[in-house]
Amino acid sequence: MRIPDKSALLVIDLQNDMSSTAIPVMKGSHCMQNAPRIIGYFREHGIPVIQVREMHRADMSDFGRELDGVEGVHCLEGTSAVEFNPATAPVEGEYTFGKRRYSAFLGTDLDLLLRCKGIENLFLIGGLTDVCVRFTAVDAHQYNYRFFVVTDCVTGSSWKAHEYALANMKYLQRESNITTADIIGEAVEVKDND
Amino acid sequence: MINIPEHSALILVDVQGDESDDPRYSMGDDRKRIYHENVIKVTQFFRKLGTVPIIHIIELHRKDGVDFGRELDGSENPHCLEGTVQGSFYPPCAPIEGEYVVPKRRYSAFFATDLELLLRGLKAEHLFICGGMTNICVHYTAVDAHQYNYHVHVFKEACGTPSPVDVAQAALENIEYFQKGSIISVADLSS
Repeated sequence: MRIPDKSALLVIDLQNDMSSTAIPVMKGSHCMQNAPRIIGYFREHGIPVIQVREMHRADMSDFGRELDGVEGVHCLEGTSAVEFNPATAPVEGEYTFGKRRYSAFLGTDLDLLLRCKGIENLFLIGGLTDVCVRFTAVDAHQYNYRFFVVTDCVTGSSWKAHEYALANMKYLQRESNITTADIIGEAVEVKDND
Repeated sequence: MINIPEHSALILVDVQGDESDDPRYSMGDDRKRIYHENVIKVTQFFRKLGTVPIIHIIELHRKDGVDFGRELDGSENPHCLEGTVQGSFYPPCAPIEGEYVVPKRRYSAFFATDLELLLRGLKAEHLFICGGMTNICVHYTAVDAHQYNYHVHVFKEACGTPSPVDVAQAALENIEYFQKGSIISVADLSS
């Protein structure tokens, strides 16, 4: 596919805590193999790359109800878990911001940033498909943005939840489910990493 | 018997006039009947209780379509236009004197509405939620409630959707993912 004008890539929560057990992650996702390629493609073509990461204060004052479900304590400031994943970390000149909730729009300046840059289309990669990616997509949709989720460059809490969340995003915008090959323009060879 | 804590509110999401004639958006008579029976049961329970504020959310779009945004880029056709049956309340649950009404243009009842201000005014901390669609407006209202620090309690049988049963179930499971124990049964109101 041709990346439309006024687009940006939003990298969601690709952080350093991949081995943590605080948050369930499905096995066998190709997210971390594909993410550097997608990010590289946007960089090469001069399309803005924006990275958001989940951060919680060390005294845990901002978790709200986030520990009332499946997730344990995660992404505390001052720990290595909060850092960007070295494989996909932002480079000089890229926009970054932190968030306290699932949606990258809630309590952040993302909508302001996108308006200032004249962005109308958001490409989404990262995790979790069924939580932060989906609820960011929902808010993007509600703010009138077109969104595209790269289905083999997002990872969910389980395969089942991942698939239902992708279908849910397709319900909102019927063209929204795309693949790494759609962007890179070639089939991507990846190894399973269960 | 379900415990209704202090500082609770009941939120009826988009319990509105008849669904579209388009068969693609039909729930089927049986699912619709069960949904309606249960949403009426919940409404009547809270009205009888008399101590919990009742808030009616209604999806409304301007007739010229100016406020649909991207809402027609997916599975939905124009819906809930102001001044139509779809743009009005389902009569058995329609608001009565002393109940609150919050219109919305988007899926989440928190998005560009005064719901959060109203809930602060009411000092609500626990939100009992029912209505439709389970996998869209109920789901996204529940997650925003969660993100704004409210405890959510969703009456599973009093939620409805024309989407397939497994899709509705996946939405309820996601709500349970972020708040354990938040999916509750209408049966618990009377036992």
